[in-house]
Amino acid sequence: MILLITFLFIAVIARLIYIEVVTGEDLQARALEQWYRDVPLRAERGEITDRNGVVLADSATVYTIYVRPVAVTNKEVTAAILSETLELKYDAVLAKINSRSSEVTVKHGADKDTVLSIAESGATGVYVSENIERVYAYGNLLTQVLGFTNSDVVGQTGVEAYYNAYLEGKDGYVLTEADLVGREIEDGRTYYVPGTKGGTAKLTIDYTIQSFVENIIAKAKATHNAKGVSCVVMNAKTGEILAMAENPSFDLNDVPRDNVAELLETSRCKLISDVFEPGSTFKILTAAIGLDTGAITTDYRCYCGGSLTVDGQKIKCWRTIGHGSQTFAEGVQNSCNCMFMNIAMNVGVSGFYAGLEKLGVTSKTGIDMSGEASGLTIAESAVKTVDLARIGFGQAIAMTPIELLRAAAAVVNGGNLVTPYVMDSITAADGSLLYKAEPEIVTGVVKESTSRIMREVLESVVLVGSGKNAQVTGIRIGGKTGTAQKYENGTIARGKYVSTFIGFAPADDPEYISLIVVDEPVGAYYGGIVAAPYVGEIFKNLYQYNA
Amino acid sequence: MRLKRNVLVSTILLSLFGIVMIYSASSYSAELEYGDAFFYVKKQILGFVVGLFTMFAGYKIKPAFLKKSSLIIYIGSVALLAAVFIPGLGQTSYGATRWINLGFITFQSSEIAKFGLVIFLAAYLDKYPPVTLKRLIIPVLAGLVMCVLVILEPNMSITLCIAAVLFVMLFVGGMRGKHIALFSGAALAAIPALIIAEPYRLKRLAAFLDPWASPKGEGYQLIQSYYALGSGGIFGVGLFASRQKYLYLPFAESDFIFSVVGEELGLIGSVAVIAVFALLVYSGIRIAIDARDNYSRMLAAGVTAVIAIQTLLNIAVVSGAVPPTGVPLPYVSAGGSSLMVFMFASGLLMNLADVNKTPV
Repeated sequence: MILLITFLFIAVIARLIYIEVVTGEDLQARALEQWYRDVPLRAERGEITDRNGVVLADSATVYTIYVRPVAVTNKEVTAAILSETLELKYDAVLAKINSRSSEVTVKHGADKDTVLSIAESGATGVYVSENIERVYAYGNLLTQVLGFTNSDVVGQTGVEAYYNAYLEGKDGYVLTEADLVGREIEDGRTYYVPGTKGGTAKLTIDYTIQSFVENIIAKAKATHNAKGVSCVVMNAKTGEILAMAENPSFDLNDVPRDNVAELLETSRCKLISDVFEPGSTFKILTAAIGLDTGAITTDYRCYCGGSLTVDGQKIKCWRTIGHGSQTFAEGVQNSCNCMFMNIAMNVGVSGFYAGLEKLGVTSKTGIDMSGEASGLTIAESAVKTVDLARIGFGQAIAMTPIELLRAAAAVVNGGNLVTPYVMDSITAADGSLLYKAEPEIVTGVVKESTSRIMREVLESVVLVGSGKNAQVTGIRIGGKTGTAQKYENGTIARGKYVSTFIGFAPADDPEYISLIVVDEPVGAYYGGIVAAPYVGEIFKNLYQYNA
Repeated sequence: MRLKRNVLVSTILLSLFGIVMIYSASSYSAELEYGDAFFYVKKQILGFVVGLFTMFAGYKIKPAFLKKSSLIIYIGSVALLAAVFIPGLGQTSYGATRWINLGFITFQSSEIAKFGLVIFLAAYLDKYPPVTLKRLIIPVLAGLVMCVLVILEPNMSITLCIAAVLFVMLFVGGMRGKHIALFSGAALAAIPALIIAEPYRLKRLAAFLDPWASPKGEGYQLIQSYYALGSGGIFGVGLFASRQKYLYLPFAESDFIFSVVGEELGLIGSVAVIAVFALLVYSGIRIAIDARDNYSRMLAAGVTAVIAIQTLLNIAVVSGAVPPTGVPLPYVSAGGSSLMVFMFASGLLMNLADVNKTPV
């Protein structure tokens, strides 16, 4: 009996040695996990700046002030201090302090000075929690490109969403000793594990250029009572986007979340996500393909009698009385539909489609923004001659404005197809470089000689042709107007037009290229009148700014 | 004299140590639940003070009187166990009806009844040593009646204690080897039956085999006990510095107080506490061995068996050596009535130690 009991005592001691000593460390490590309540410390979201460091999006720390009624030792005094500092009703605050809840929120969104002044006052039982809030210094500027975040400060649209992983940083933690249900333990230890701030994102956008572009499109929209106006200014050689603006827009500091459909509409960057039938601005591409394939030369002449009959279908020129006999240059200046139908037909379907593919209008540009759409073309195998003729002057084909712009840029910059981009670089909080954009360029999509001819002829469009309104004294500008009819439910919508203008400068060695899209202007609708003057104005401002 | 002193010193040491540990283990939860950090401590101190009297009573009571009253004591014990099921008198907590609530005091009938059985068996086995199978009928039946009543509460752990005490007393009383084998076989066969009878036991068994499989369910209690013991390590985290007592460890002041001992005082503290229990148990065994008469031997052996079995079972549960079952640690766990009864038992052991010394 004694032996048995001795054995049992030794057995339990052996078991205790095993648990307390052999597995002790491992068990303690597991226990530690449950002993601490971890409250995340939101990492500060990185700034977004323009190319010169102008801060466009920033994070501000705001504070939520709350009270633990049981910890308030001087209820009336605390209520008085809080009501005065936070501009709240004394009775309401006192009622909260007298409530039976363990915690009552008194104020959201207080700033640091307020918190400090309360901390220095005689208030008791007052606690504070930190929150990060996104602040856009120029809320109405660059709205669609910047995008916004949700209440958890996670990017939802635009750059905020596309580069969220870089911007969001790494959360820290406050570890507080707590009991089973998370109540803090008196005299418990607290550990701070600081978070890492998100990277600072430098855009290719120039705040100044963006500002005047926004003003100019607002003016264009008002002047022509348009449904919307959008505009992009790009470095023609690298693809850096210098300005990208849409109107109507909204203030990023006050996102209109009530109307989701409207928010989806206004927060979408239509320049990259909506396709349209480009109309005459597309003729830049037709001409370039014609010259490049050798289907035409600068000596090419063409007669316009006001219409052309293809496959038995009579297709009208915009000038129904016709342009008569024209040189290639005159045809471009006149934006004569007949000439471009002929050029396209001279190239032929396979040559023309190959040209379109090289100019990138059949695929996405690869711009670093989410929601980009790709151009739509009739399948090459299904294209009839009549379709090809129409495509020649920009009908029966759809693309995004950004696809059109970069194809035009390739035509005039010597044949280099760029990849548009809005993000220049992202720098980590410790100064290390997280991301650096390198221009991605496909060279030789059109011949240098083609490009030279196109620069000259497009400059003449602005000098003597349909783009005259884009002229600016002292700046050599080239460009092309466009006016396209809108389709609704598959048929032409009467009186609804998209007026466009693509301009570039300087005309002999283009540095900048800009596209403006005026959607549904009321009254005048020709691109030369509704769109061209604004691109001229943009270049005027641009050169004044650079001077 | 030495044995009597050993019993007295270890009893007082364990009881006072219990009060300190109960304070440490329960002050936080008691403050939250009752608004009084000393809620359990006060009750335990009261139990201890009354326990000094019950211990004195146990010391002074005439063994002959106990022997004479053994049948009445047994019947009274069975009545107490049955009384638990009287509505208004019995109290149900945590799904078991184990307590009698007299308004001013709540106690577990089985705390008293197990000693009632010891007193009865000592007298009976003294008169009719269990040398034949026939002689075994009455003692086994007496034990079984109690076991059945206790298991109906239900309370598996005390049932096992009672069965073990019965076994020890039959053994000490001179049960034959072949009968031992027979009863061991029957007991082993009964265990699976008892487990299957209540599905929760199966779950507990599974939780014992792999507590990490259900860390939030059945395995929770054992894991929390492991955390406490593991955090204690060799030297412990220091008296009153337990982290597990912040509501993580259920029943920290009662059935799992030994976990808090292990956490705060480490292996050294745990072994020291076990050493004091060992001293008490060995003293009890010595008293039984030294007994002048068979009745005293039986009584001392039975009382010591109760203390030893319950202590070992509690520590084995807390350290995960046997499946979790709710059994308090004698003298140490919170529970005034339990403390009073065990202190009476200590008094009785001291009484029997005196009897041995009395010149014939």
